[in-house]
Parts: sequence; structure tokens; C-alpha cells
Amino acid sequence: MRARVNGTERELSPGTHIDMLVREFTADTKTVAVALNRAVLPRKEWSTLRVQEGDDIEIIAPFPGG
Amino acid sequence: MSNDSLRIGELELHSRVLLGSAIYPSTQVMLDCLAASGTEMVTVALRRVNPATESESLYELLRGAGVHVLPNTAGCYTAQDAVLTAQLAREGIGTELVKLEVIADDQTLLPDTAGLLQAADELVRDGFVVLPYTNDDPVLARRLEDIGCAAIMPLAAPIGSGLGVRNPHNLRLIRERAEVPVIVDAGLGTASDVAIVFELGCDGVLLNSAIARAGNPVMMAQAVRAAAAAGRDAFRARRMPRKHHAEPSTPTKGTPWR
Repeated sequence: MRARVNGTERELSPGTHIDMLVREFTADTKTVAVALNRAVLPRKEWSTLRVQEGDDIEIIAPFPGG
Repeated sequence: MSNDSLRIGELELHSRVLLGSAIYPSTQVMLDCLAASGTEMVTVALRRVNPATESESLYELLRGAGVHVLPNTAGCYTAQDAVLTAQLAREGIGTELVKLEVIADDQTLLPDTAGLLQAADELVRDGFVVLPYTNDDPVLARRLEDIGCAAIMPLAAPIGSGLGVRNPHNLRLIRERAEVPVIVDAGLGTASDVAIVFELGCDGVLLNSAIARAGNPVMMAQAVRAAAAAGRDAFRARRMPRKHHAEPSTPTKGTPWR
């Protein structure tokens, strides 16, 4: 199953939860937010929602900025 | 001075200096600059999490420093991207504050005014406290205020240019016509620029490059703090009228041989 994660096409195991994907990127998820197909995915849905073929996922966090 | 706080939405700030969190030589220098400037509000951007560069949480660091965190939408070129970025910031760090940027192009980094108005409108309706980065255009400033923005953030000069206040007349006009705070953002280069902004009556400044790119960032942060206080006091003291001719300050009555 292919999905786009932070701009990169990835092959993911079927049934991968968003939660698992986020933890691949960072252990400290307190200030992380996820956009799924260009809409905010609330944190409470991370553990229940499975990635679907062709999903576009952005995993973002605060970064230095002006 | 007491009772001279800056109100942004529900927040009351005792410092009128806002800082960015980027391009400091080190994290410790940034923290030292925050302390030296006396700031109570610091901007952050939102970017993709990169496992290779993961470090201490910037958000935790800033909260530990006792400042409010103001997420920006830097890097957004459309209203849609800016709205989504603000919503992600709200989801990630639980704030309704947003410094709204909708940038027109890479060369000027000037605001895309049509996109800015559209995004501001959507975010205000969605419950955000919107601080829009805008041109120094008094008409646009009025439109943004009418939409319901909590402050207006006109530029002094292009982002990162350090050119200082290019159009003091427009900034004064914006200040005179606005009911919400006017926080001058972008283009300030040194302490005297900050003093000018406050002498014009503006309510706050937001700086990043002017401090982070200074030879001695912490000393510049101290200078900015002093300039903000001096400029604000000068504004509140109401300067003398300008005159076109000399007028002696020493009394002429009793001058010998006259």
C-alpha cells in the first residue's frame, strides 16, 4: 500500500495506524499535528484511523520561525 | 511604565517587544536574547518533523522561558495553506493565536493581499486570534480590522532586509485609524528603528533578524528593549512641535549690548 508521508512516497503495511507512523518520526508527539489529505486529523483519531492507499499525510511540529 | 500593557485578544503583555525564534547562533543565545529583550511572546513556524534533526522541543523550551508562543504561517503562498497551517498549530500546541502570513512570492516576501484577506476572514470565523502580517497600507489595515483581526502587523521594510521604517507616514496613518494594536513586523534593523516605530505611536514590534543576525545578539536584544522603552515614553510624553525656523532656548530679555 502506497501513501505520501511528509512529501515522500512510501510503501506501508496494510493496517498501519497514523499513530504508528507518527511515532516513527518522533517519540515526543506532544506538539505534533497531523494533516490527512489536507485536513487536520485530530489526535484522538490517530490510534483508530488506518492509512489508506494514496493518502497524503503531513506530520508537523513547531520549528524556529520569525 | 505601569498600566501601559499591550493587549492582544485576551492576553495582556507587559513587554511590547515580540521576537522570532529563528537563525540565532545557538539555542542558548536565543534564550539569552529572549531574557535580555524582556519579550513575552515569541513566534514559531510549523514544519515537517524530521527524525534526523529531532532535538529538544522548541515549544517546551519557549514555555520554559515563560513566553507565549505565537505560531506563524510562514511559507504559505495561498489562503488555503495558511488556514490549514493555523489549524494544525491549534491542534499541535493548543493556541488560537496565529501570526498570519500569506506570501506573494519568494523574491519580495510581500503579502498576497487578496489571499491575506480571505485567510483572515476564514480564521476569524473559525475562532482564531488573528495577527496578520501586512503591507503598510492603511486601507488594507482597515479591512483587516473590519474582518475582526486582533492586531495589525504592517511591515517596516521587506522581511529580513533590516532597512528600517521605509514609510513612517503610512505607519502613523495606520496607527491613527486603527482600534486594535499595531505591531510593526519585518524590516527593522537596529534599535533606533524600534524607537522610531514607538515614537510614531505604534504599539509593538516584532523582530527576528535584527537581533539574531547582529554581531552580538544579546547586546542588541538589550538595546531593542531600551529603545522600545525610550520610544514609547517619548510618544507618551508628546514631542514638541516641529518648527521651520530657529527659536532661542535661552531668554533674550536682558541680553547685554542689545
